[in-house]
Amino acid sequence: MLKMEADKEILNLKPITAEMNILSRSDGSVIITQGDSSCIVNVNGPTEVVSMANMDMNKAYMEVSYRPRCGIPGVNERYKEKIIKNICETVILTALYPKSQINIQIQEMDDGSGIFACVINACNVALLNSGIEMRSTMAAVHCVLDDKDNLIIDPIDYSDDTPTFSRIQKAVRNSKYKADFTFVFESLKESVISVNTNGNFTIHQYNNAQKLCKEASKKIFEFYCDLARKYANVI
Amino acid sequence: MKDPILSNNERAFVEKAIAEKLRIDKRGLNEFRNLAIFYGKNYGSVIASLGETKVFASVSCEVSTPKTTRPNEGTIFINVEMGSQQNEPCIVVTRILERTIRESNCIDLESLCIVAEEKVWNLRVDISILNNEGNVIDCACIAAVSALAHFRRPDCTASGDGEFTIHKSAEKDLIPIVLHHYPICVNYALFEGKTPIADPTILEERVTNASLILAVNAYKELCSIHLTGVSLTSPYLIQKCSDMAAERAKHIVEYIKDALEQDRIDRENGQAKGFSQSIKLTNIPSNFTDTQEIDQVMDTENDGSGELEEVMADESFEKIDSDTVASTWTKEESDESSDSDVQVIEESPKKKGIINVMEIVDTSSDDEEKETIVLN
Repeated sequence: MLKMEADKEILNLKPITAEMNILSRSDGSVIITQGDSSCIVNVNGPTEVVSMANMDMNKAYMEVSYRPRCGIPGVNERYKEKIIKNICETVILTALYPKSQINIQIQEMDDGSGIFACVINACNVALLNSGIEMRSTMAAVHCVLDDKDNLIIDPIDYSDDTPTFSRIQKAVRNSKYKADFTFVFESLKESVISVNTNGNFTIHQYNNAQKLCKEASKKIFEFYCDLARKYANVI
Repeated sequence: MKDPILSNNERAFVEKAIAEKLRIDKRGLNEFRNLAIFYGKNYGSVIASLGETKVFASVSCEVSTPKTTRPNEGTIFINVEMGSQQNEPCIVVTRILERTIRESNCIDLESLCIVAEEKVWNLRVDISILNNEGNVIDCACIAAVSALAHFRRPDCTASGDGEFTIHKSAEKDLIPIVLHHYPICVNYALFEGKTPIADPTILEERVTNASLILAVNAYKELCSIHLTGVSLTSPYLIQKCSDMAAERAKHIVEYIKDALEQDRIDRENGQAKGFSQSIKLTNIPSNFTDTQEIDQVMDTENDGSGELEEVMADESFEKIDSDTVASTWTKEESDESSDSDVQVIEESPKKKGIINVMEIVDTSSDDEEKETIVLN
């Protein structure tokens, strides 16, 4: 019933490379490239709370700052910050760090397709690197629905538009697909902890996308294991 | 980014060492840290690193109206961010870069004009200081200049009566920004107002607030000069520093040009790796230094205290043993495009596309060899 005739099953993810500890002044940092997207994330914390208004007696306060590749951060970036903050609060054991603050800084470097998934994966690796206690790890997978109703996992999309810092031009990008999904899974029960969608799709397509992304997320969890194994060798 | 704490003991130690012409990281007084430049997949994005100091710069452009005083010139805007918010050091760096890049007229702003008095290209350089281990200004300047040199803007044709078309990259090749020269900032920390230390680390910067920042281009022309903290004690100081800075600038410009050329060749061959080429798995603890590197530094630091050495080598994280590997996910060269239609959602194990491949990092591919130049 979930089967769709024109559906392609491509569990290919774009090549991921990551390097931890690239910034000496941060508690945890990572540079990650995922196909045509890349970003640097650094995590600092737990530190004292900068503004007393944000102090929480029961858990750590999270602050996320997202810097776009070019131009000043605007509404889009605030929106992404909010989502990332929510996701991170889900996976971090914030109750272990009361009256303190955890800062996550994200610098987008190549904003190709699936940059948001790339950023979330980078946040996860940076958090692992920083040694902040986490409930589980998380993996984000990007998936699009093209004009022929095919679901494509993590498409390679060489956009030919030139870099611009005006927000209006940024917003009209990525209109070549019917819809795109970014699913975030946690590692314990492999359940969805966040979904971010754009465009029009049916519930079947959504379910299919989720199913595909869940399969693909296993590869990312494997990648985390690989990464941890390599670093554990040296440390 | 955390601010390091400076103790009195550290301060005394550094000052005493400098008086004996020694530096805590074993460099000579006029020795620079390793420089590395990596270009991203997009035009105009660059990571520059000077030792552990890392700066990301990206250039973007859009069409806007020109200033009324300069109706046939494009504009350039430089924005520097350090940490999450703007603070005082950022403004200082922004100002120095503006003077170095904008006011030295290194960019041909007239070539950015589309229709005089109506439409010009507006360039924006966003500089993000990722990691501050001292000498941010040098690193930011190198990043900004190499990003500008790397950037391509869309071509534009004006068709009379004030109308014009901006071509996509598929229609017409993107065109580079015209740079007349490459101004390079060279920062010298001044101890006791007279001993210049090249490429100060953050500790040295904090011990002495005095610094002399010279912007020089490859033709040994001084573009801007910035003195902080002290008044000049010696009339020869600026002359001496600007001579040293000129040599340094020449090497850096060569390095930037080599990196650009390499990137151009990679792009022509369709092998632009983007930032993934900067990724190695070796510098796992960030303070990790392999013995080989120390030997090399020791070699260059020979006894002659009057001699000036300059070392420009690969970034330390490029010096890796050939048996260390980066973990890379390589996907199969898939046939995504060819068979589009009939495929059913069935788990067939061989379709699981992704294979975990250990890709051996090719260290020999980078042609930026270590070079040691001894100046007398």
